[in-house]
Amino acid sequence: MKIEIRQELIIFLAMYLVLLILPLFLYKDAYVIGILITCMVWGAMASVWNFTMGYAGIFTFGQFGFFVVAAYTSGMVTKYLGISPWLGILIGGLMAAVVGVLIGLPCMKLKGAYIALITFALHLVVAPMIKVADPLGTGGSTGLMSIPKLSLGAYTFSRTDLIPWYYTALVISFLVLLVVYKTIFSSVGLGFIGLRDSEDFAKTLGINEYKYKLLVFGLSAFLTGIMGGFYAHYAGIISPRLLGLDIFLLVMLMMIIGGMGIFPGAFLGGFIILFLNEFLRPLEAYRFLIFGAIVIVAIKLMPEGILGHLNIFKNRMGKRLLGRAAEVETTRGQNI
Amino acid sequence: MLELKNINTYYGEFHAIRDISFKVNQGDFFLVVGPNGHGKSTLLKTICGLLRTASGQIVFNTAEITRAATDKIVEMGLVYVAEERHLFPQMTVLDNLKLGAYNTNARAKEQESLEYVFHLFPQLSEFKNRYAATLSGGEARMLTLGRGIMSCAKLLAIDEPSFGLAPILRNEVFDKINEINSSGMTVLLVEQNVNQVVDFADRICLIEDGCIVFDGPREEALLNEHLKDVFLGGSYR
Amino acid sequence: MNIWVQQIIQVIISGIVTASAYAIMGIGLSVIYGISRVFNFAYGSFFTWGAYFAWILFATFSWMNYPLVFLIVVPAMFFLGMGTEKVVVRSLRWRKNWQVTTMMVTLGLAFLMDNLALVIFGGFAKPLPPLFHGAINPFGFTLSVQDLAMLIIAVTVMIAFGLFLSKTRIGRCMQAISQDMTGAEIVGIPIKKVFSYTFGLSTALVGTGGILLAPRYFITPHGGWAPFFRVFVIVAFGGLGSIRGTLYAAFILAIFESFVSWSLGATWVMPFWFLVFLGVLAFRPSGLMGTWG
Repeated sequence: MKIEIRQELIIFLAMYLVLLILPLFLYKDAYVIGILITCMVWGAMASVWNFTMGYAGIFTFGQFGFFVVAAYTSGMVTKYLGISPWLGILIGGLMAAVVGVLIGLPCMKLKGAYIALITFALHLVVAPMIKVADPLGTGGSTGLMSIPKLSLGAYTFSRTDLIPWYYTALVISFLVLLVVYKTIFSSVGLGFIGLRDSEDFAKTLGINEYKYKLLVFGLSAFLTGIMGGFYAHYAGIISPRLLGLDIFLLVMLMMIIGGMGIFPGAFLGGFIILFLNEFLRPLEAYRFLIFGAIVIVAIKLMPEGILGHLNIFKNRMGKRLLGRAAEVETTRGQNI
Repeated sequence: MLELKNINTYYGEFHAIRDISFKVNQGDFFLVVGPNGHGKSTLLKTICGLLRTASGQIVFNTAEITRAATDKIVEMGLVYVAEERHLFPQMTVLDNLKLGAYNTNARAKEQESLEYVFHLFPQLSEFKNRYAATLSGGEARMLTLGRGIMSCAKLLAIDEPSFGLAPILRNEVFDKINEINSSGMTVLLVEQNVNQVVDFADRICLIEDGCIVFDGPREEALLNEHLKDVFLGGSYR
Repeated sequence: MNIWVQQIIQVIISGIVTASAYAIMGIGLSVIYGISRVFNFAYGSFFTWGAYFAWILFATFSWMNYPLVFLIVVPAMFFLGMGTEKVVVRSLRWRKNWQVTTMMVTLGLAFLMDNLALVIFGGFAKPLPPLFHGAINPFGFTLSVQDLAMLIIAVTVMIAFGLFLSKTRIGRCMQAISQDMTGAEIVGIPIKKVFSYTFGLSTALVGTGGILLAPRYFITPHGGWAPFFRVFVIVAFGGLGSIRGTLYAAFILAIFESFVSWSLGATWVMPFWFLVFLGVLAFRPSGLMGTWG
């Protein structure tokens, strides 16, 4: 039997190898460790988003909704019901999956751009819902505070020592990315790509469109939810501000810069964008102005992202998702 | 009047038009035949600017139109009449015709063209206030031809006008096209129902797999062995 | 008269007034989708900037008045929109999945515009002077002259827009494109040019909405998102691309909103909009008279 080692897997494992040994040199620098944890959280989220958009071709803008739903669920069940945070993260993920499937249901009948509109509406509405649900203990607009920390046996994690958090984030994000990787390169994943590239073609092959779309919604919401749950316990405070356009745009940029439809791209993009974010921090309000401009310029000039333009993957599956090689017909949109 | 030099067109990754060259003379009835899906429609769309050529040159009345926008091409008098009709369904027949006369040359002659169209297709003047969506297949086909004439066309590039029509209606449409041609209009017609139009054509061109297999005057075409099968079969399936 | 009946009528009146402003903004959002298939996520930011332009004029010239403001800002918004279409949106049209790409680009643009406003004007809310002072009391109801003026202006704009679409040459071209884009192209309509006019027109409409609503609320850099979301739901409810659907939806939903706000309180307004949105999705994803998917 021939064992195929994909370039995607090599890059993915190489990045985690670097992350694994990095604290040996940086363990004193809590600031950098903190940023790296955030990179892993958002990078993994961007990767899941990329999986949904870039591979499955489902243009969802609702990932933050799933993230926040899971974060609040996990935060609240551990805070009020005293459940173990580890279990809480799992419950949060499941909750997000339920919401994902519920949002996915009306999306089944709709095509690309409309799904984007609906899921973005979900994004816009979660914040007011949290505020209204204040009497249920969400903390309203100030946010949910003093969320229990993770603990392992007798050891409870604390903000003074970030190394345990770092390795937890590493393991969780690694597992999330591994699931994404495994799904992309499984027969199920090939079904997704078939659907993305040609719905009609995939249908003739007997790929059940509804089943796959729902599966993508559920799985991507679950994986995003896991990251959300972890984030809630790590940050200790979560608020509707997580749904602000700033974070949304940063994560979207991770995906664009990394290259849509290119597997570890978005994760790499996470590090690029967040370190750029730190670098630009002294510019204060101008920072987001610059990020807004970067979004426009990146999409216009670098539609395939950094990995795409480096041309690392000669025969990659997710090529040219946003590329220039479009058929002229598609520009006319649908006619009546 | 219209000259194509080594045109290549891709449809996505698919090489649909391979190195096609031909010449349509003023006043000609130029018939393009060939099997379904072998690039005839793509060729017309390329000529009228809806698709872009990868290489080659298209010259219309001494002006190069290879990469010109469709609206510029229409203004020069090269007008495309689509197989899929592309009428404006929520507009009346009259409004559809008036929009045909959008370009500046046509606008000046709007009234004149309208009279000619109504003379050619008396049915259209009968229901000029009906919505295009309510027209039958044959009526809609007449309207697309009329709308093309309204654009002050010097050359009409007509794509598969018999599509979806009953045989009697087909003959009527072909007669009308012949009438238009007889009045001096150059016609470039793409058609599968060959034997119903072959008598009208001045020149016939056969396209298979995106390549020109035969190109010559009708008399020559009728003697060609390869084309004989085509005419005997009546049409490609 | 019964105090309840009186209050309810008052609520309906206030709903109608807001509806008229939402309606012109909704038409702008709907029309740009119907004609050029672009969904503009920076719509709310254009709303905010319309109001900011008005504020600049009032802050710079003490003698400034509203007619002059409309006369300056509305054309300015039109050209801003046209320029945006040319620079930001146009080249994307030739790509695969360009509709979603456009959404992402306009999100970036929204972010750029919001933060530009933040940098220039600061985070503090800016007020616009009232359109008019005073109130009238027909049949015992209170109706401020400002609201009345807003209603009149909005309705005038709508009628003017309707006439523009049906009577002018460019308006007919827009209709043609929305009915059949390829058809419009083969009759020789320069669709790219019309796309840019449409974008300009749409931003001019939302800019008008911004100026009309600013005297009621304050202007803040991110203040365009709440009206944008409402208009978004209105357009989805009415059917993306359908002007008549948008009009009906604007009036139905704005009157409901004003009931919700009166009976349950302002915090329930946004969840109300979302529930409507979910209802639309569940029962009629194509909207009242639209053609989705």
